[in-house]
Amino acid sequence: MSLLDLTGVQLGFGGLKVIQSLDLSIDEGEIVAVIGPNGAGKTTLFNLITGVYRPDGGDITFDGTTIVGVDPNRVNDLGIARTFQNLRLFLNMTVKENVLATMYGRNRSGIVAGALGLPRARREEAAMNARAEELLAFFGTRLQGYRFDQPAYSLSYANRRRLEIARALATQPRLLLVDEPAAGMNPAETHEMTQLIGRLRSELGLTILVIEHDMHVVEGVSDRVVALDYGTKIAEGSFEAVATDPRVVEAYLGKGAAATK
Amino acid sequence: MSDPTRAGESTSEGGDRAIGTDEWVAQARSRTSARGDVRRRIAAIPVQRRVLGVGALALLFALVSPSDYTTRVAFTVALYTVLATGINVVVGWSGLLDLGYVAFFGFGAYAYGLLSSERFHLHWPTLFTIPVVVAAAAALGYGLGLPSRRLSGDYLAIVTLFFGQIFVSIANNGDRLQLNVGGHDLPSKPFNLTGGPNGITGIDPFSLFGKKVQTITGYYVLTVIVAACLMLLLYRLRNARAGLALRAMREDALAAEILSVPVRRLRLVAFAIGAGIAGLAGTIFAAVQLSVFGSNFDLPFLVLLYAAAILGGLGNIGGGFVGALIVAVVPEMLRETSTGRVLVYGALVVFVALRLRSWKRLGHFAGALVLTGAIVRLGLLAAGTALLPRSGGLAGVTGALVPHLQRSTSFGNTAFLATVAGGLTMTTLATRWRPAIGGVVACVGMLAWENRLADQGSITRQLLVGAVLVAIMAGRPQGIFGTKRVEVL
Repeated sequence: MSLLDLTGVQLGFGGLKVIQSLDLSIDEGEIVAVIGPNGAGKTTLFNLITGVYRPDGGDITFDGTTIVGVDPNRVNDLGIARTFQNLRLFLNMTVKENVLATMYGRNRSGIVAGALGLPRARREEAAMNARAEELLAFFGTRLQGYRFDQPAYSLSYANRRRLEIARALATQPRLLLVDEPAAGMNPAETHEMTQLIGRLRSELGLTILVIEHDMHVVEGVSDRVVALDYGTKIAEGSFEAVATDPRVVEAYLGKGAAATK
Repeated sequence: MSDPTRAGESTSEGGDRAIGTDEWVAQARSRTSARGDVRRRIAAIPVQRRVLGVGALALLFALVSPSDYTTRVAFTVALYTVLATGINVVVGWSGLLDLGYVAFFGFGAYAYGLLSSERFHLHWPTLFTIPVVVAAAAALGYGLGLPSRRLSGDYLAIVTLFFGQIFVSIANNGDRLQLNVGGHDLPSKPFNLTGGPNGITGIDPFSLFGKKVQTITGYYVLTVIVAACLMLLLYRLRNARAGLALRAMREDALAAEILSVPVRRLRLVAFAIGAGIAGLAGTIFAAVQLSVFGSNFDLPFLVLLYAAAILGGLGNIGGGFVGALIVAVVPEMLRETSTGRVLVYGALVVFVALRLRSWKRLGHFAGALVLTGAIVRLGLLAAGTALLPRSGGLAGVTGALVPHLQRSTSFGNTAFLATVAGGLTMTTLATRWRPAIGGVVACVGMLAWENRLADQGSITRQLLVGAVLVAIMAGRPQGIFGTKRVEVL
C-alpha cells in the first residue's frame, strides 16, 4: 500500500490554476524526484502536502487517512517533515537549538514542568539533547563540537542546508520532503548531498520526495521521477524514460528543441 | 563600544549593514579579546547563582537604604524588572508586538483593588486574591489573543494598542455602566465599577501570614523576591521544550508550524504568560499605592516599559533588570542638580575614555576643549560680562574651565543650540575630525549645562533622559545585554 496518495488534487490562486487534477502515489521506502521548470508547481505541491495550502478539490491521504484540512503541525505529527528551498532556519538560535526546537511535537513536558525543572522535564530534555547530538553527527564532523552553540546564521550555505535536513529529521518523520537540496552547492557538495539522501533511506528508513533541478542528483537518488509543468503531471517513470520524454524536453527547452531531439 | 558596532559602521558607508556570516566574523574580536574573556568568565557562572547574587545584593540594599525615598526608587526598579521580564517573554522570545501590555498591568491593579477594598466591601485574603487575579489576567491575555491569533507584526500591534486604549477608557468611564435594552435601562441605576476618574481608593495593603505589609521596604523585599523567582523560572523555561518553541516561532513562524510547533496555540500561551506576569505586578502596584486610577496605565508608561526591555536587550531575561535600573534611576538622579552634575560629567568622562583610546585623539579632544574654554573666557572678559564665582567639589574643577554667567539665560540657550548643532554636525564628519570637534562640542555643552540646563531641573531631566536613551541605543542597538540579531540571509 502506498504511503502518500494524491488523487485529483487541484489548487488555484484566483484565476491561476497552480495544480490541476494531480495524481501521485508514493510507496513506503521509495525515493521519488519531482522535476519541472520554474513555476511548474513543485513547491506548491509540497505546501499542499504539508498543510500550508488546502486543496480546492481532490484528496491527499497519508498512510490511509486524509490530511486535507489538517493543521501543518498536526501533519508533521503524523510523520511528514520538509526542508525549504529558500532556507528557513531559526537564524538567531544555535545549531543545536534549531534541532531541539522542532522536537516539540514528539515530546510532552509542559510549560510549568519546564519552568520548574521537574524531573520529568529534565529527563525529557536530556533525551532530546542526546538525540540532537546524534542527529547532527549524521552529517559527519561539520555540525559537531563548537558548532553546536554557534548561531545558525554563522553557518555556510551548504551547512545551512544540512542543518535544515537535521532539523526536519528531529521531528522523526516517515516521509521527508526535500526542496532543492543541492541548490547553490558546488559539484563536490552536490555529490555528497546525493549520497546523503541515499543514506537517509538506507540508515533511517525514510521515504523521500525530493524536488531537484540538478539532473545528476535526480539520476543518482531517485527510483522514480515525476515531471510537472503548469501544475499537471506530464511524465512519470524511470529517470531515463522521463528525461527523454518529448513533453519534458519541450517543457524545459521549448517546442523546437523537442522536435529536433 | 563593542566591536560588532564598529564593524557595522565601517560597512555602513557602502550603504549595507554587516549581516549573515560577516556578523559572526565581526564579533570574533569581542569573543577572543580580554573583554570576551571577562564575558566568558561571567557566562561560566551558573545563571541561578548570578540571579541569586544580584537578588541578595538587592535585598542588602533594603538594609542600607538611607531613606524611604531611595527604597521607593529601588522598589520601582524591582517592579519595572518584573514588567520588563514579561515583555521579554511576549516580545523578546515570541516576537508578538503586544502594545496592550500595560492594560494587563492595569487589569491586575484594578482587579486587586476591587477584591480588596470598600468598593464592593470585599476583603479577600491576599494569598488567595493574587493567584485569582493572575489567573484572570492570564485568561484575559488568552482571550485577547483569540481574535488576533492570525495577526503578526504591525497588525497585531494595532489591535493590541487599541485594546490598551479601550482599557483606559473603561477605567475612566466605568463609573456609570448602563445598558438600554428594549427601552429599559439595565440596571435601573448606573452601575459604578471602576470609580471613573476618581479611581479606586482605600485599597488594602498586602496581608501575608497574618501580617500587614505597610512599609515600602516590605514591598521592596517582596518584589525583589518575586522578580528573582520569575527570572529563575524563565531562565529554566528558555531552554525547555516550550521556550525553544516560542523562540522558534519568532524566528520563523511558518517553518516552526510545519515542523510540529503549534504556533497558533503557543501565541495565545505567550500572551497569557505575559498578561499573568503583568497582572501580578499590578496587584503589587495597587497594594503599594493603596489606590488605582485609569491614568496610571496610559501610553507613556507602556513606552517606558518597552524602553526598559529594549535598553536591557530584548529577549534577555537579565537585561530586563538592567533596563529597569536605567529607566527608573536615571530620571531620579537627574532630579537634583548636584547628582545630575555627577552623572553628566561622569558620562562625559566614560564616553571619552571609551571612544578616544589613543593619546593622539585624546590630545586633540582635550586641546580643543581647553582652547574653546579659553576663547570663550577671553571673549566674555573682553565684553566685560560679570561672572559668578564657583567653588567646591566638581563645581570648582569645572569652574576653572567653564565660566558661569551672572545673567545666563540667553547665553545658556545659545550654548545649548550650539551643542545640539555641533552634535549633529559631528555625525556627518570624517572620523579623524571627530575628536577635535568633539572637544569643542563638549566645552559648549558644559557651558550650556552650567549656565542653563542645571537650573531648569524638570526640563533638563527629560532632555537628558532622552539623550541617555539615544546614546545607549546608538552605542548598542541590540540593548545592553542583548545579542545582535540577524534578520535576513
